[in-house]
Amino acid sequence: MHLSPEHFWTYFQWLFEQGGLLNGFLLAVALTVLGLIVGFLVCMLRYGPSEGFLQLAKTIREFFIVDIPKTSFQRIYAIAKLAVKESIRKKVLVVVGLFVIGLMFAGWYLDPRADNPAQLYVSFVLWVTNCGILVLGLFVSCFSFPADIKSRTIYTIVTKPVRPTEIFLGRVLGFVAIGTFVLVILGVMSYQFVIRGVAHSHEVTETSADGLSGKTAYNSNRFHAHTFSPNEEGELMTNFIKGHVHRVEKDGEKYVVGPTEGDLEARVPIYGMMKFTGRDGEEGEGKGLNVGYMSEYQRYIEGDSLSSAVWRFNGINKSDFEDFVRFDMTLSAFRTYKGDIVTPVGGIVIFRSSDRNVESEHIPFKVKEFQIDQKKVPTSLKGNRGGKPADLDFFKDIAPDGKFEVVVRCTDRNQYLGMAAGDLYLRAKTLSFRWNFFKGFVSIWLQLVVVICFGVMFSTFLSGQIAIVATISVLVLGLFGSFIDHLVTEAIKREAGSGGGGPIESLIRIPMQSGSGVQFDIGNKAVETTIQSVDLNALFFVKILKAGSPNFNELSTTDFIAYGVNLSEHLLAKHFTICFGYLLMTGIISYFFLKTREMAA
Amino acid sequence: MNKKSLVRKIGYILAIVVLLLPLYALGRPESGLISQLRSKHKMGQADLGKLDPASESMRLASLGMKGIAATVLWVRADYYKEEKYFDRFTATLNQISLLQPHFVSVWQHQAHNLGFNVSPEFEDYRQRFEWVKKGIDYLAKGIRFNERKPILQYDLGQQYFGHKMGKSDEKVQFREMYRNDVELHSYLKDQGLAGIETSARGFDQRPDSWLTGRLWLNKATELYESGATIKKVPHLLYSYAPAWRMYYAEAIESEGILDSRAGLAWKLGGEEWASFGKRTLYQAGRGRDMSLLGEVEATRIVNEKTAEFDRLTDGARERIVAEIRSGLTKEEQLLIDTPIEERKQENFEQAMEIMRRLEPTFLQISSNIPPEKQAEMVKVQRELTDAKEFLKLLTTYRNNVNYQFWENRCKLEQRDETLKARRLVYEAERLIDQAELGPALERYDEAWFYWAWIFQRYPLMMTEELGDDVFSALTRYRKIVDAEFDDSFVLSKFLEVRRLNELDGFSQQATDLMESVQRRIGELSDEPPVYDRNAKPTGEKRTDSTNKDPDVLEPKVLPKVMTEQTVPVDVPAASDSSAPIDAPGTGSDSPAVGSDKTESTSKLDDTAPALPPTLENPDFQN
Repeated sequence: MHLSPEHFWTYFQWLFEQGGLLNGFLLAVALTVLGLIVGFLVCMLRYGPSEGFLQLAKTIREFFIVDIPKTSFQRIYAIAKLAVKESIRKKVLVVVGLFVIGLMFAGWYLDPRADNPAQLYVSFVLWVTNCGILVLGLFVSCFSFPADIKSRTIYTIVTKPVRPTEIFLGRVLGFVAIGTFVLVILGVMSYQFVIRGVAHSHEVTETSADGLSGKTAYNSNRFHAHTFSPNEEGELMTNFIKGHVHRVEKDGEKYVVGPTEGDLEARVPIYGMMKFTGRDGEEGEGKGLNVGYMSEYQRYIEGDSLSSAVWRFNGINKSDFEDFVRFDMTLSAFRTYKGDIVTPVGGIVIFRSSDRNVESEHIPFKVKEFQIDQKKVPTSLKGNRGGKPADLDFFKDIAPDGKFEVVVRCTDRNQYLGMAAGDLYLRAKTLSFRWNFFKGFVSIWLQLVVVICFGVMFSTFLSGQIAIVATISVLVLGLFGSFIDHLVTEAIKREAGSGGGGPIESLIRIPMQSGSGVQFDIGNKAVETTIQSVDLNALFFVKILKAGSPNFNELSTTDFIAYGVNLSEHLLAKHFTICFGYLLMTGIISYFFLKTREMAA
Repeated sequence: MNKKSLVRKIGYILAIVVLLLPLYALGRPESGLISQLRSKHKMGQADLGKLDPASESMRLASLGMKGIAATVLWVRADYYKEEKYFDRFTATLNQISLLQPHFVSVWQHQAHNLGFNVSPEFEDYRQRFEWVKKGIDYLAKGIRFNERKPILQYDLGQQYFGHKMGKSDEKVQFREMYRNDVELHSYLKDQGLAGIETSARGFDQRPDSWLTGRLWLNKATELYESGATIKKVPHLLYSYAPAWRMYYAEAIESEGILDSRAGLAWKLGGEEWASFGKRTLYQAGRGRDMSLLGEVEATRIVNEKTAEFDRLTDGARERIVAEIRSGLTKEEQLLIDTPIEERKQENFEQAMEIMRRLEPTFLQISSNIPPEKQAEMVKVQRELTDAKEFLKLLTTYRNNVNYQFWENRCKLEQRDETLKARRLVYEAERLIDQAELGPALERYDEAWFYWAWIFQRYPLMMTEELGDDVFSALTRYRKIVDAEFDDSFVLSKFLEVRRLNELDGFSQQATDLMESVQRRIGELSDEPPVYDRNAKPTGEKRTDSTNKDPDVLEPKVLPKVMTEQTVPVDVPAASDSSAPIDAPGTGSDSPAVGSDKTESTSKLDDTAPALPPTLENPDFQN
């Protein structure tokens, strides 16, 4: 699971420190200015400059003075009810049936031999639900107004004293209600599918003479078997295979293997900010090393040197930890030579105070790749204070004010350890998977609301089919936003003259078989310049469109649920805020279109 | 207006009917052209392999955009691999294979990704093995969908069970994990590999990776022989299964099985190799079939035809050569009369050109013989050319599979002497691990005695893998005794051959040396050698006062095989024992000493022990 620093921010950090509010405000200002200009131009064409200006001013005044304050929740409720009835009449509940069919055959496409089947099952149900529910939102919202206009049932609404704000909100709420209903059904079925999909047990087939270890039978449906032995607490636990363990209990002479543990959970991580040091151990411009992988997510530190990764933790409460400080690692290793194949590459972890005066003894570890290496250190530990050996108390000596550092180094010469900021975190507690799963569905619900808002907005001024295309465009911009960003940024850079180009230039280059590295040359400098200017404007237009579109990838939280990481309330609150922003934006745009459009013409 | 419309509609209907006719002719279920072509080339779904409802529904669900869907999935799979989301990567590969179940390259490429690219990403060798198994599973699934594509069975046998399990850095762990993986054995049996319970069993009655690979290769060849196509030349394809048997023998020897079980493995390997040699290799468009053991017969035919041709030319060739020679300048004559090894580099090309001129063409010869003989000579010359081409091809094929080497090796490896020599080296190395240096050296010394005896009888093996094994062991031995080998050393000839072979431009000399030994094989007795332990004082302890540790061995004599530059004048210290043994440069001025122990030690260290005795064979002594 890839985490970026923004996943670690608290809600208020994001809103006030990292520009969440500012960006929203700037976008609102830009859209307002754009709306005013477009509105004035349209009014000018209809009524002439002075009359047009007056009309525009009148509409804005009505929005603030009349329509907003006099919006009636009763009428919103009535329209919402109508939207629900209309949706049911249009048989949207068929989606539930389709989902059931999809789940019935899902087993054909899910690989039970996977290294972590729970991850696969959870990602699958969340992905399918996400796609299904967005498509549902798309269709119900886009065809609503155009269908009403076509069938002239809109007359019954607009001839009554209903305000545009109420029409928009009523429609959105109605569609959201029906979508929520469907989502709840899908959520319950998905949960059952996952729980039943991963549940399994084993029989114990072999035990040692002392009865403290043994082997389980091979489960031919789940394609694995376990061995078991006592853990640190003395409980009999199986080894970690396919993302889970089992508790083994002795019932008289018989051994009973319990249900799976560790595969469906919600660990509550406390993340720290990470920095790399150079080979001298000093923090400077150290960014970690790239060992040759395409992916830049993890960076590497060199073995048998002072090259380190340092995590800084803040605000750690003693109450979150009892006798142990628990932390998880998901590091990776890179070998420059094979060496001892059997022994994994090793490293050390050091806990130290933020003033670096006190540090724990070195805690050695061997890297466990592609699994969560769960570690714990006692709060009473050995270390040194001011360079002298001492017995330490974690919360008194190392983290007296809740601040401390964790240093990770690689101990094997010429070998490397790779890590990203999210690859070491403190594990305060573990919450229920069910609650996390619910939060995952809340994320999907937020995406549904955004799609419905856009669908309703587009349907206020476009025909059904065109509204669908427009909403799909928003979805595409949202889902492939980073790709489009990359494409546009690169193309704009190239416009400076290094080859490549925008849409028109590319269309010309393709039949000419002119590669992007070749200078654009069609024999006429004036035409070339014109094409490049038009391209540049088109690219900026796409860039603005992209900025105004919701980033559905950011709103998706599937990975958190699948990888068993608690979806923080801060992140959810951030998504709620973004969703509310889009509701506001689409609501205002819809209001002006509904206000100025002649529905009963 | 209505009439016009009616006419237009009738026109449309007629056009539809006319266009439907060829469509009907092409697409009829049984007798249609497409159906016939499908049957002829066995391209029907049922001919290709298993029909899978999941695959069919997936393709149906793509609504005709299978290509686009597959492309998107490939891009996504690449992304998952780059970002190391390996579970999702596997899930995406499964989806790709459902969309393109009969596209063989998908199975090959993506299975390789799993077994060879993703597998090494894991630090834990057990996880790596799991990913190799995923690659195997993926290919096995591909076989079910493509039953007439032997390349998939070939890949399984050759790459996964052969190279991956048997030759990778983790081979020891992989082979052992495979032997213990009962579930995998059962899975393979379900995939139609019935022989896993019988002929794939190794010395310990558990399935062996090499022998399992051999079963897959056999399946591939059976399929090929039944008419399925594979982009492999037949002699190479057929060579793998017997070679895998020999690799099995090699592998168990490296794992310490150095008794009759290894001998039996080599014996069976040799028998299978001989059967492969007798196998008829069909040569499309080349006139006649061949077998790799037909080299003697092919050589005989060439010689016979050459003699016949020479008889017909009645000395014309010699006359023409003499004529051309007489036209050469003195410098040119001197050049070609100079032995090759004495020629200067810059004259090589000119000498070759003259030699080419001295080879008369068929036209020159035929114009020098009576007209009545010319027709017969043309016939004989054509037969001779064909025979030569056939022999050349046969030799190429034999070289491709290294036929002679494997034949010799099987004979050699199953001998008691070889097994004993290997066992002694193996035991010596285990003893070194336990710091039992004295007994280890005794075993080494005995091993050199047997290896010398073996190399006398199989000299061509000195520069092959077998020689590499012995050379590695010798290097370790030299480090322990902290000495270099002189000419009295029992394996001095072997070392000389190895040294020459490593030097640029001297490999021919190494070959000459080996061939000189080869020529004398007939003079040697095949009686089992008897090693006299008492005749060999070796591994004497250092007695000087500077080091009282009885396990530290005294440095010995300077090597003949070392250069002046690489050999320090001072006696190398124990820590300096890593000096290369095969360093270039030797000769009368090298600081080597002779075989006489007294002489050698007098130059270096009076306490240096003597080296193991040589065999009573002049080829192995100076």
